[in-house]
Amino acid sequence: MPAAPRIDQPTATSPITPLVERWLSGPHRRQIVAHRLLAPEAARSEPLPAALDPRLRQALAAQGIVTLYRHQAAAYAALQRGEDLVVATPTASGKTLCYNLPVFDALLADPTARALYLFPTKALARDQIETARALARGLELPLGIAVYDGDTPPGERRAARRARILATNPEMLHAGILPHHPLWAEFLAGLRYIVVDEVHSYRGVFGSHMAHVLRRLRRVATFHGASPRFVATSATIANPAELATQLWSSPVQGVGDNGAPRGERHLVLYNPPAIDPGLGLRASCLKTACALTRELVQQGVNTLFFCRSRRSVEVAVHYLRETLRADEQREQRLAEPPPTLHALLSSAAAPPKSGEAPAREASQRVRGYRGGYLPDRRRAVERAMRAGETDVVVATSALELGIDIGSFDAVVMAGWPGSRAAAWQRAGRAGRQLRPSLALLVFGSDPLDQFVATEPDYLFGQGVEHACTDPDNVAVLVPHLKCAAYELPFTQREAYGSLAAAEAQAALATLADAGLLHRGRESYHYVGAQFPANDVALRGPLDENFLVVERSQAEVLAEVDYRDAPQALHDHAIHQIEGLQYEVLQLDHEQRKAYVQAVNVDYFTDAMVQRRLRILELLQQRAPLAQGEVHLVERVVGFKKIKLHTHENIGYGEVNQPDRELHTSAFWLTLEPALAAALGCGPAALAAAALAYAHCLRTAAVVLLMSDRQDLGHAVAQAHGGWYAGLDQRAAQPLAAADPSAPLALFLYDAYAGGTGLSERLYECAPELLSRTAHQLARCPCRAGCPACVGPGRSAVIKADAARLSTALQRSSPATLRVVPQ
Amino acid sequence: MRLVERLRRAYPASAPPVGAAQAPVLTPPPAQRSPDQLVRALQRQILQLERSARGASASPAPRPPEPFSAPDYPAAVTPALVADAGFSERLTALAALAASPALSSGERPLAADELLFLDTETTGLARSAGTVVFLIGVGGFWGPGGSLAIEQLFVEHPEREAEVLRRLAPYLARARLLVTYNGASFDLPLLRLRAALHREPLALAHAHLDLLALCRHHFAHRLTNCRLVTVEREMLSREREHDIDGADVPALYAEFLRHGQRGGIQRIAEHNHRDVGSLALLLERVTRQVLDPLQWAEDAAELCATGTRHLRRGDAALGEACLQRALARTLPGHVRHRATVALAAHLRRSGRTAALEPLWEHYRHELPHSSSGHVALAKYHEHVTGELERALALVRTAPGLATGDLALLRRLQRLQQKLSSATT
Repeated sequence: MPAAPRIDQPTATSPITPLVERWLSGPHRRQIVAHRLLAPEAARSEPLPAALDPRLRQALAAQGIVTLYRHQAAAYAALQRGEDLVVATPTASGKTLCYNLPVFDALLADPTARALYLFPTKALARDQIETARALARGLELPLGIAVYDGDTPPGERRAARRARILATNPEMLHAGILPHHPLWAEFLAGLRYIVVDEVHSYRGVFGSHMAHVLRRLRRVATFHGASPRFVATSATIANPAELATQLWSSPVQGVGDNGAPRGERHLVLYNPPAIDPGLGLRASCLKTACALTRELVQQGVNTLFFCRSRRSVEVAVHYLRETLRADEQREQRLAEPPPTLHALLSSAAAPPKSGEAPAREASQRVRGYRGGYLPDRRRAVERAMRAGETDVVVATSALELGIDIGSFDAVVMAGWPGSRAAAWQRAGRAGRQLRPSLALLVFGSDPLDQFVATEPDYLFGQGVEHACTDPDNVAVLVPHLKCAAYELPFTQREAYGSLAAAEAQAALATLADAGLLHRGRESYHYVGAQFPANDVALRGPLDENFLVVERSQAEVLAEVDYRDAPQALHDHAIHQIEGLQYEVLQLDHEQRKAYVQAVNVDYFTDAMVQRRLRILELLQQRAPLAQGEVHLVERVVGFKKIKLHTHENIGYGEVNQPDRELHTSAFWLTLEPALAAALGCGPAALAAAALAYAHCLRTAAVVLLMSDRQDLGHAVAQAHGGWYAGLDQRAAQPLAAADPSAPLALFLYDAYAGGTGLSERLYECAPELLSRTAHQLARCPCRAGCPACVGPGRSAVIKADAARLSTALQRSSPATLRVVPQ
Repeated sequence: MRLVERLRRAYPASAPPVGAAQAPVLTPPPAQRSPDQLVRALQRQILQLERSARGASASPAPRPPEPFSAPDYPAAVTPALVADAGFSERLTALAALAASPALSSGERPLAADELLFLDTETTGLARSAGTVVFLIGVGGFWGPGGSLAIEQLFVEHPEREAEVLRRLAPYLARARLLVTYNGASFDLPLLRLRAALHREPLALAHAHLDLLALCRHHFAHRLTNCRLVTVEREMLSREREHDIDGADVPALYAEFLRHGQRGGIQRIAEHNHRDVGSLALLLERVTRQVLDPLQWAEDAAELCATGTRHLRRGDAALGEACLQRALARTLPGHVRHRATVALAAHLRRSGRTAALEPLWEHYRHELPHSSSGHVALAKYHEHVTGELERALALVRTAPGLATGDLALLRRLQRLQQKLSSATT
């Protein structure tokens, strides 16, 4: 047996291991579907590189850094060799130093050297740049470090051009810096490093846009005489080097050999008890997670609690505060420590606490943190977290990206986070220095949750998800070629990113023939009064957020995304903000405001949404395949009132508000009644099979397009009075009112208004898409459906029907879709 | 499918295939249309528009542009101006007064042909990488007999911009004073940027007279706005007919590049030619008014503005005379205030403190509701005549005291203390 790595801190002081052991032997054990103990790992360190600037060495020593972890040293060495690289190590392994070290070293050696730091969001840029600022302060050298984003005041913009390190975001680089590159001549001429943090955020359509923004940055930097190195950091995804290579358009090395130390980590997967196995009803995931969190808090374990939605954050904050308040009151009454839930059940006394600091108010011990809080409130919560004033922080994925809030002893996830990568990213938040830590995943009753609960190897066994981009997507490529030509004319023989010179020139010639570019004798130009960059939204069109306004005080309490507003802020919705309840009195769509007043009620609300689609224009068709423009409508038809604690449905309300509409392009398959007859199944079975098949079709489409799941929507709908009415899995049956012979259609649509060119490609590649889908259905070893094929929570019959549907569709579809020029 | 094939499909060439010219097919409108059909048609239209906004516009084939030749402009477009004998002298004086950097008085006087009028036409207003300078109008008195001549340098295609910048160089080399309208914040920085982008050396460190800045300072108070066309109309009585809107200029140039249509370019060129001509007329007018304000200034406010400029950087005696004359007339309060302050500063600098009392007394008489006159006079009596009681009385009667002006209160207190310590 290999000798156990030496660990500086004794594990005995941590309550985690005994608590998990008690869970595993007590009544909880029946609910624990998996437990893994990851062995502690000692730090693997290397000395600071000999060539490092002595001033930097001194500044690092002042921060207590005298050695590097292995991956940090590897990154430094690779950059010295002139390689481009991506560092993919777990959360809190010191990735920031992987780029700060070489950047500062270069800036100290050469007074003209500059570095550009790119962060996916404004908030992250402002947060992360503080690390660099702290290091710069230690140097006692005036190294200009600036943030350049939409909030930078005009007076500071000029100064930002003189910065040595500039932190910005993709949009600002795309529309604020590149079109004005002559003003940035000095900065670009000195550009030595391009740092791309959280590179896994750039996938799908957004990632394809980002690849072009980086190509344009490289072109412009080359023009000004620089050839910068590329350094990226990534969360755990399966293919960080591949993704970075696609983004940077030239080979990027992966550095993944993590040398950071880690204490032992328990991973516990917990499925709440079944209340009615026949109906698949289980105890509430959120409440179970809260009860387990309470046990952790009672043992003094500092906990981070992840919820899937903003609403559940508020519900959990409310529950936890209530529980902790009740505990405190009991404590005061009995003047002795309360028994834990587990202790009550196993009649073993909890260890008495001693030397307790004066009790803090429950509202200080439990804090919420989610998107939609105003920046001041978020900063306050972040400060409290860093200062260790909180016992539990309840958060959404807003905390998933690298916001620095220190670390926690335990992470509780209420519900499956949606992907393996996200699950590991959140689990990585647990673990302070070398102390034992716990990541606890409590499953909900969703099919996907229950699938992972029954197949835990889905989480442990396979690699994490792939992230891909497709910069050759014409709808993305063309606007960026225009931007690039605006920034610098394309010369003859110039290549562009992954396009070799011949291909790039052919593409430019095509655009010139179409009148989009102007051909000269030896170059291609863009001429127009407006920047072409203004017409390109990298993340799809962003609509203005809604403000939540307290009516009597006219105080702005929070912001809500445009997309979420119809469901979260409809009239009479209960909107919760850090545990306080507000009722929406009026939603003002024009002004993007929701007026609310504080209430104290014992329920929350859940919006009911109806979707429908219609075909606006049929652009191409070879039955049963078609492609064209569609109009998608989502309407909130009403809401349910759900009682806190019991989750009983205690009433309905009607909602009357404008629909959310999306004009986009789609690819669809029509299932004619004859096809249903040939399959020999009834309308309900056909609907179920179509839903199952559509799940598999979408997965295959995402892989085929090298896209991201969120770029593509899917719907199964039934023709009904000029429209197609959406069906969903909970009610997988045709509409009662519809003509029984009305066809069903399977839609795959671009998730952004106007379309992003995905559906056209799907139509072109339809034979390949159908065959891949069929292959996936045949190959998947699961019995009754899983996320990889028809989706979880189906049945063996449905899966078999879907496979037969697949065969029938393949047989009735044309084998090739030759392009016939019009 | 190969990328280029996908591109060709998504963005088909706008030219019809050669020999396949067809008459456009007109579909008759449907006899009846339900509202729903109409809505659908509209939505389709919107989608179509969005698509064309995304770039897939249909347009005729690109043709090589025809070479540009300066058109024959009607006589009215080029003003008949001749640099007369005194012109050089006046110009030198004006350049010393208002150019930036100013022509220093020790330098050799400007010759009439060392002046260069400059106006550019561009593909946008932003100082960004894709804004091309495609037409440069230059003018000067190098025509027959020292008459005004205007020449235009046209960029046939953006890739020949550098060539045209090189052609501009000899004009710049010959000139010692540039005259523009808004050149300080537009034309000159943009030309510098274009030159830097093409790595062309372009000497642009000339003394520069920006007539926009000058018009703003001297005439803005009586102009509707300070756009060149407005100034032309209201000061030179020069009307433009069929002039193009500046906002259309970039699109006309793009059309020219796409289809080789010269019509738009001719109109832009005419517009530019007029602008350069107006620069010359305006300079002539401005020179007269600024250098000889007692003779030519049109109102008291202009006299104030011109007088202040002369006090600062020119003929101080003339400036003083302008201000004195203006102050004797009716003036808006803020103009009177500024003029009085400027003149008072000048009097103090030249040691003529005695003249301050009547100046501020007149101010106090004209603007009885302002405390400034009282304060200035109180300072005068405190520090020059030493009449503390008179100073105190002035502060006591200052209108601002009633509204609790803190500076006044402090001054009052200080004077009282000074007075009591002087008496004891």
